Amino acid sequence: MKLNRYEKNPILSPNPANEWESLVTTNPTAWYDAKSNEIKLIYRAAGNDSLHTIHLGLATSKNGYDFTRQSDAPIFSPVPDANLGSIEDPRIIQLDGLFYITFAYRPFAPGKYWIKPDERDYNAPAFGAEYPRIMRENLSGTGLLLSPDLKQFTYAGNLTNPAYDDRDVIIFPEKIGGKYVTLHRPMEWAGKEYGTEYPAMWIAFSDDLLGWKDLKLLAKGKYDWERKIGGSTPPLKTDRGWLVLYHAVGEDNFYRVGAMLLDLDDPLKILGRTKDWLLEPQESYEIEGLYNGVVFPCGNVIIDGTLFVYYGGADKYVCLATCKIDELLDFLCSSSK
Amino acid sequence: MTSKLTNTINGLAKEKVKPSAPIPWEDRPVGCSDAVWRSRRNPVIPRDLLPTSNSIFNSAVVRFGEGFAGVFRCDDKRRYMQMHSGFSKDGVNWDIRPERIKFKYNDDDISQWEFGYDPRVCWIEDRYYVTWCNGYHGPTIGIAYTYNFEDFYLIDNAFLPFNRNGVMFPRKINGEYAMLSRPSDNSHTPFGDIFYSQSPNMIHWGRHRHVMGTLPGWQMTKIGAGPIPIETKEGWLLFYHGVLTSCNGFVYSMGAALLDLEKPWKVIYRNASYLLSPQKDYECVGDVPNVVFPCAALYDKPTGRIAVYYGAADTVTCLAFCKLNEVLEFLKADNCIV
Repeated sequence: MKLNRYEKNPILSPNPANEWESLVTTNPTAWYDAKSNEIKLIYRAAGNDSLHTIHLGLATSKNGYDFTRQSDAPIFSPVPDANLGSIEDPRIIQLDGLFYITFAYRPFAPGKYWIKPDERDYNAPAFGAEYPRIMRENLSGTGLLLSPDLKQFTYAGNLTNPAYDDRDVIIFPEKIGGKYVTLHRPMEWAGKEYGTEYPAMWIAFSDDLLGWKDLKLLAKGKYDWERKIGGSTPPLKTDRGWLVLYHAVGEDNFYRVGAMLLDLDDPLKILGRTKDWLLEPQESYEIEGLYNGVVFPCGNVIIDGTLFVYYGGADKYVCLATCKIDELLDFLCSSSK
Repeated sequence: MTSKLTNTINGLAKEKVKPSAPIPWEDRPVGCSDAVWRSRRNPVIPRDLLPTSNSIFNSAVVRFGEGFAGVFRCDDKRRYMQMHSGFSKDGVNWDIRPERIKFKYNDDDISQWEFGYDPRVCWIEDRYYVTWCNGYHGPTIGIAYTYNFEDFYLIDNAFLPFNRNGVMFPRKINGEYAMLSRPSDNSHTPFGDIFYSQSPNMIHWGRHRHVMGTLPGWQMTKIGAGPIPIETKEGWLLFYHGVLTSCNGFVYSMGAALLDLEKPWKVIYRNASYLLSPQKDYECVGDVPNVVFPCAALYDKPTGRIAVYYGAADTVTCLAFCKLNEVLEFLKADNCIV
């Protein structure tokens, strides 16, 4: 079972006319907006500045394939004064009519991470031991944007513990047992005491979205293409369980895509999981960019029985791959046996 | 129409993806054995479609939405060379905007509009790019893009003056944007070969390669790329114009060549004979007599049909038809590349 690439990939490319998105448009998240009857796609974007300032942009589509940018300006940009120096990897859900967008952030712009630190014009500022670790090491946390309409956005604060690196935080689009459910990927939680050799996927149930206060290990790297793993797409509720695509980084540092099916009422229970990857870097837009060898989904939508997976290629492009949803669910259900 | 399952839509594709309109087509006339034949409806765009226009010719059209859109060379009654956008349901009857395109731009240095003519339009990845002969202290290749043929965003000129006939490839080749162009001079250009250039970012163009030059006969004086090349299994099919200098001045005809897919500066086949030359009244009589000048082609892959849009006599816009396999056959039979 594999995902099929859309023949017109990439569906969005860096836009030379807008400085803020002239180098990078990648790692897109997507949601079907019933009000406007279109797919909204929010993507990570950056220009060719030495800070490597990362923004979020918005595009929309009537059919899931052809996307049109909605503005020549980003919808959300770093707020350096609030220690939001970099806005990365959005994940969108809608819960009770309100859009929740989680995003990975760093206190400072990362600089051109794809070239050697001593060859960059800029590196994140240095701090003494008295400063929080997230500032000293410019670690990632996860922030939350709220929006009623994807026109007005409110930054609602951060969802992670500044003591450690935790990106790939994804909110389930429904409360379960009255609790918010979130996926996490605490980077430092690896080793014997955590029950996983490499960073893994953790899950939390909370009243306030601050899931970091009580994380439970959900899944860890199992197969040879997986070491570090993390959630990728907002879970989709299907009649057979929650479908979650995840990313796995192998020994070869390639980012691949896998999937798991979680029990609808008890998402700690994994009903099925891919033994082999669904998508791996192969095309030029996946292996020639700022990170050579990454396919990184952040959004998915089911349209007329087809799963549309929106993913970033090579930290540079927005791409699409699809499969029949029933085929994937059958595959996942049979994989557990 | 959402179900109770999250982010799951039923009926969206059926409602939203309508089949695109068929490209214009007329069967080969009885008794005609040519590889390319003219539309009986020529000229499909008269010179005075706009009340302000002196002539509408050398224009580029593409599939757009459920129909077609284009960028048209509309010289006005002052005889200033302008470009207008237009829309059509069938590719034949056109609604051309009365106002010329006013480009949006970020850089004041290139905002001064002198003139623009002979546009080409090319869909690459996620938008339509327009290239044209742009006045910037002499003719060069201007580049802009649009998503909707309403708003056009100016990028920058690809080259220094003097250059004309900038024609993009519809996808990146070896990871870079690719363009054909025809460097020449500032007057009526008694010379000119086709060159290939590539760019990582649509701004900086380089690695220039010579593609092909003039040959005796109908393409003896200068040549220039026409429509966006059509990708086939065997190579890029390029329609181009060639110019002969007669005792009465230039004569513009159309021929074809097949370029290597990954190294498009390598010419595989090239016509010894023209495919279309000025012979009808509307091609021989007008502001500039004896001109057929192709700027666009619509290709329907399932049927192999091609509709070529060409300017006639620098006055009106016409249509000609052919089939991909027949053009390739003719090209091989009439090939002059050894």
